[in-house]
Amino acid sequence: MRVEAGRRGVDWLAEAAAAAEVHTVRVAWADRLGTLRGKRLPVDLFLSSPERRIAFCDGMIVVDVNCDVIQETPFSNFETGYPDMYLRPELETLVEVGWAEGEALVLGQLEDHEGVPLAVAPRNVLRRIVSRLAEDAVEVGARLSVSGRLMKGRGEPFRLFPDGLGGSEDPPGILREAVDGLVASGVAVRWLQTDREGGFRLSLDSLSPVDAADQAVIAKAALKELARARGVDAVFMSALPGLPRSGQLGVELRLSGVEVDPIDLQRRFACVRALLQPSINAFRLGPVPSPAARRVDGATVLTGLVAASEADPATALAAFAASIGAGREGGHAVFDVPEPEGLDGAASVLEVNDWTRTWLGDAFVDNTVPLLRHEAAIFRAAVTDWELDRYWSAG
Amino acid sequence: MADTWIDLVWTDLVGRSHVVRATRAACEDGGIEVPRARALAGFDGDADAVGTLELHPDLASERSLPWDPGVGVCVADLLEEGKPSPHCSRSFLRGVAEQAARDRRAIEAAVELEFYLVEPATGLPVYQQIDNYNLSRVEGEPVVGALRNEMRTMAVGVEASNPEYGGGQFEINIAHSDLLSAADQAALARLFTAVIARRHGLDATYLSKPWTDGSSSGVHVHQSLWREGRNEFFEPPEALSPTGRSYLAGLLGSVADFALLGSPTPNGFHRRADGSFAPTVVAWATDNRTTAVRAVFGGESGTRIEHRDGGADCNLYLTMGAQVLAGLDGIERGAEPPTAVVGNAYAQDLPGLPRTYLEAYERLRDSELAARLLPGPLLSAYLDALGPEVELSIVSSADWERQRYGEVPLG
Repeated sequence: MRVEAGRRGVDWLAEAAAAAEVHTVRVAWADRLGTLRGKRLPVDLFLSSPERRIAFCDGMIVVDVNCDVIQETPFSNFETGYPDMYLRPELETLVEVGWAEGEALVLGQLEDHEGVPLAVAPRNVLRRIVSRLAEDAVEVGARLSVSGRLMKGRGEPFRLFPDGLGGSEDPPGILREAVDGLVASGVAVRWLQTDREGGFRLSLDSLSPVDAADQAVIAKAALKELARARGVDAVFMSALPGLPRSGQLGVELRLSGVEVDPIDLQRRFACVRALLQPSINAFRLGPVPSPAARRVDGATVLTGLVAASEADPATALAAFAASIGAGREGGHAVFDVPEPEGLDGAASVLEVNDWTRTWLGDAFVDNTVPLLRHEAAIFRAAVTDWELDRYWSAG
Repeated sequence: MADTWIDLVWTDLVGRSHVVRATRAACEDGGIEVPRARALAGFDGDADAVGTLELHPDLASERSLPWDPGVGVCVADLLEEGKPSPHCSRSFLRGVAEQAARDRRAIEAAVELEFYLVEPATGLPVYQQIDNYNLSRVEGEPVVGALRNEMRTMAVGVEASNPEYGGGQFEINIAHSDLLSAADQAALARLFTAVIARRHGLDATYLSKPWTDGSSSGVHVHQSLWREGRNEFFEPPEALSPTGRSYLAGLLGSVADFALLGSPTPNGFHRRADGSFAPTVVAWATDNRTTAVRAVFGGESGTRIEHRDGGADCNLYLTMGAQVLAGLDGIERGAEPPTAVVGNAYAQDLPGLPRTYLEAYERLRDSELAARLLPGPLLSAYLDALGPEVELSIVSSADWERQRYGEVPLG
């Protein structure tokens, strides 16, 4: 399915702008749930200073799924005054947006006023962990797949035939346009699967972890955007009523320079489960499955790693890579806790293990745990439709 | 430039834009009249004024209308008896810029504007969930994209846009420029937001607080002062110079008295809530979004002071001119600002900003600062225009009151 490399780079952009093929540049970053956020700039303005940092309110890197700010995140809250954070464009990521005519996209590094990478930004955390592993001669490649559902409304999926495209009920052409657009954007699409209940699974090629995370975020953004433009939804929730579980981020890691212990890894995955399943709904996926390890050409290939599609891909990869790094390093105790039963329990397990802090960073843990607890707390406070249906006539 | 028609855009006292389409010959000959009552009226359009004012096209501001090559767009001043009208807010702003220029100073300003896009059929925003900066929120992008691209061809330097902190709310950032041009660009952007939205089957509103549960729409004015190519606010490595501090002190000292200038409707005062990102107290800080005035550092080119109190529906010329006058007055007086706030300004015991329309009206009316800095006829006319709104804000019943108290005194 991979047909051509994306058009990329500043020289390409300058040519495309001169030819009036591109008018807008999206300057983008992924938030802690893998949503692509940023600003749109006129192309001539971007080209006038491509490396110029763009300012954003820093609270938006520690908000919940509804962009609500909470006060328990030490990185940013009303006491810190929500100052600016900055995105430094990484021009090697500059590509055309294959599914939106006339637009280009550049990703970048979130940093503070002094130019220090933000320790709360998942992409920075992943990059740091990968670098740390590389210093120990451990190389990591990541192959991701993203699954979700195309829905007409809540509980009403599109009827997609298994071949994904021909003859299926994809009248708006969302999937075809997404795949073509992603390929044009240089996203390494390998294949697309669909099912009769609106399910789709998009598999991407093996890349460096940061590139793989970037491409998965872009893929989700494209699907959501194209669906919204047609008045329907691309949904990445893990559990939808009456439908099989979907909404999974599949991960395959290719490791060189390290041996892994699947038993140790599974215990560590339980410690980072809140990062892999960061919502009430995602937690319904259940315990993180044990990975399978095999040797291929001198490398270890770990398969069967699964996070929720709602998880930020960089966060998920950081959690997996941290588990591998900590396991290799040893010396960090893994608290022998039972499998956490709820999101807040999982948050506590993340919080108390020193190896998660050592590898993911205190700032990341200390700003993620309050958000997880906040999610659990508002869920506990909510009266659900289920309760109303079940107990309406009680008493 | 267009050969045939020119749309003359002028702004009334309360900040609404009006358009007169005239031939180029008429623009050059002069004598294009608008009713004095309309220019001086408030929202009911019933000013007690007779006669006319003359529109004076500022031909230096002419730009082409991108979707109609036969039509140009030009900002216009109001004249009375051949001279700038004392009731023309754009002429007032020009005068402020000229006052600074007499001291060999140039004011640079950049305006951020927030607005909502609305589905006409439902009267609701184009989407409901807060989704700040989400690039996949495409519901408003046909309009916002056209604003970015078409406005730039009209020499309105929209340099960025993003979904804002309200469902269906957007922000556009306009590049910094000289004071008058910055206000012109923002006024044109506001006007053409509505025009472009309608072309796409949507409505746009710059009302400050259109929904109780939604974020308010503000206008943030970034300002800096330049002399001989140097930013007078900047002190290396990263501080406000004494001039910058005095300007800030003047600006901050005016925020409460001038609140009505930034909020010409009673609706604007619904913004004033703790945690709303609209200011509630007289405070400043370095890069802190809980204060009314924010100092932002970015080297010589980027060091500036941001005034955060205006509503998106204000008279930009009047508001920006008053802000700059207050800042210049601070320099003139060698004023020193209070200690910068550290932390959450909403939670601190600081002098409050007017919380109601009546309070803001009385504050401006009785302000010695306003009487000293603002031209008397302009200030009087503004207060006269808004007088009826004070009465309406007092005597009007609201839907929420009926909903909340409708069954009182039943238990």
